[in-house]
Amino acid sequence: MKICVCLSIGQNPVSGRPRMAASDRVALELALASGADVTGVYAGPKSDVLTDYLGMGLKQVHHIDSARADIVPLLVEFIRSGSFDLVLTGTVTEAGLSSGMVPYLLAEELSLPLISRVVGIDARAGLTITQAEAGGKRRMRTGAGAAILVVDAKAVQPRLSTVAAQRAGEVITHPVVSDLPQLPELTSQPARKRSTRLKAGSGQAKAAAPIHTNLSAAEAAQTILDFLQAEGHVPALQSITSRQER
Amino acid sequence: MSNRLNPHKMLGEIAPTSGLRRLNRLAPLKASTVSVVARVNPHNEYRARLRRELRQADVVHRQTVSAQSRKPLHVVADSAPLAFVIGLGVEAWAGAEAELLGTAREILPESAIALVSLGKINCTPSEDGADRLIEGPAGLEEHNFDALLALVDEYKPQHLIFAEGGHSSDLARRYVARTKAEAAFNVVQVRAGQVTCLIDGGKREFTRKVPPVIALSRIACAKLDAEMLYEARPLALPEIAATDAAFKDAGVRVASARDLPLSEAELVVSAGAGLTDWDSFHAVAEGLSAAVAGSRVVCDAGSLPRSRQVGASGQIIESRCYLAFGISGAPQHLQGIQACRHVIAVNTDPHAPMMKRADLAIVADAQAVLKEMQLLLNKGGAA
Repeated sequence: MKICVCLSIGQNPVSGRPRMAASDRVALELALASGADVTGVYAGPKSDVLTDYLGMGLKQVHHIDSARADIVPLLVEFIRSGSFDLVLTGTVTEAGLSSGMVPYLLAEELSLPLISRVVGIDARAGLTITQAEAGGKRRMRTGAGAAILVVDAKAVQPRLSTVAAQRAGEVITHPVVSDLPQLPELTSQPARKRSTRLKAGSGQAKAAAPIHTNLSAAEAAQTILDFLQAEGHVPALQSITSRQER
Repeated sequence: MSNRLNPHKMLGEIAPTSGLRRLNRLAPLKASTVSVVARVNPHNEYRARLRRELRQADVVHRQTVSAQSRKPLHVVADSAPLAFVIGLGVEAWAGAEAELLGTAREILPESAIALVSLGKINCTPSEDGADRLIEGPAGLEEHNFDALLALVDEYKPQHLIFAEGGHSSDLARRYVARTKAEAAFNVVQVRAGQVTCLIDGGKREFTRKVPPVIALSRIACAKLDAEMLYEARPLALPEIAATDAAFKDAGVRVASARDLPLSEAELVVSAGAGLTDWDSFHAVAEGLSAAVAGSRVVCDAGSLPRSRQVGASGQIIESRCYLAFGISGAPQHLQGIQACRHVIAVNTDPHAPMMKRADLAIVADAQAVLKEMQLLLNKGGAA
């Protein structure tokens, strides 16, 4: 299986220094752990951070030197020429627009199916993709053929970058392409700190809940389960409702 | 002296054998004392007062009901531009649908706001601000996308409003990639006609005019104060040309309590220094499909791995419900559960800080309660 991982350059949230983007590290880890033949691709200005990605165990990173151009057509061209089985991306970039649109645009341009919130890939028998759902649930998706996977940031813990691996891998730079459509420059300000908006009725102080002191263990257990059910935290279990008990 | 039943008549005029005697059977008037006092049965008077009060209470109650139904109805003309608020069965955050509707009214005061609900409705559309209501079936992302395209084709809304999170942000991006519509993602602030979006990984922001597609973060949203009623008029769902998803749904699996990450869990069962019976603790967690967590003391002792520690030096969690067994609630631990909606505490000490934080506080021995919960859950599982 051939996997292409789209990489980007992140920035440290405190110092602003360039680093490996956290969500791209997770995508790369998932690709490397699947045992497939992994290729990295990065479109953008030259950066030393690419060697850090090599340090995670990547053999090759293709660097498409594109300055400030729109990277989507460049990535589309690269992925078309590579005949990959899967294309993995992180969720959003840490620098730039951070809209999270790149994988969706790639899927649209390449007419490939897209699966988001991916937390696992299993290619042993057919291809099974694991998707994260609300409440820690996991949805299995089976299929064949190429796809674009948006890897969830909480999928796996990425491995560290080692110097030995950095020296073993190589960065292949593709020549600068001129006359590319440029992205419009935005006039932005530093983000202000915002607290959540006041919600209707939230100003009222919550009345202190009564403390149950004289319950037997059985009554206490029943009270807890009733509370959980009343608030919808657990699915209805018929025989644990107190009405049936009595 | 006047007759209390008929003040215009003087008692003296009434014949001693009149209806008054019948009225007051308990103390029949003597012919000789008629002119002195007419006694009224105090019991009768009490009953009359009670009936009067009940009647009044009834009237007052009916008034409030009618006052509520007389809340002004907000009607938007059919010619008004339409805006879709997309709600999917699983909300991006608790109460997202109602908050999106409220915020949509704020951004687009002139539009008719239609709630498109694929899956189940998680709000009260008529009170939360929906002028129109479209209900559709729940499905995979691909199917929701097909339904959305069909709906947009049918009703031609000028704006689409999504929540930023979960399935909703996925659907928004699919739509934008397909239609190349202008969009604002990560919107953190709204004013009439303007939105502010975060870029650069949240470090910078820029303000722009309202584009056709808006994905709102939780921070930008607020629910309406219900001062009006809205039509919530149902609109028909058009025929949806369903395409087969390239990757078939092979079912949903629930992670076991030990694997479920704390950051994702909706229900967390947590242990403190007061817990000794670990077997029933894990059995209860498994029975409730809850994640297992512990305080620092428990993790220091090695009873739970470090990744399960909740608190300032462990993880800050945002689960919907937190069950604390034998945790007194040090400030560092309470920091970790600040965002939890409900807290249930079982502790032997009624004055522990955790009991003040709890929505349901029970003074009992954690071991005994866990044993009983395990019994109840086993019974529930067997039924």
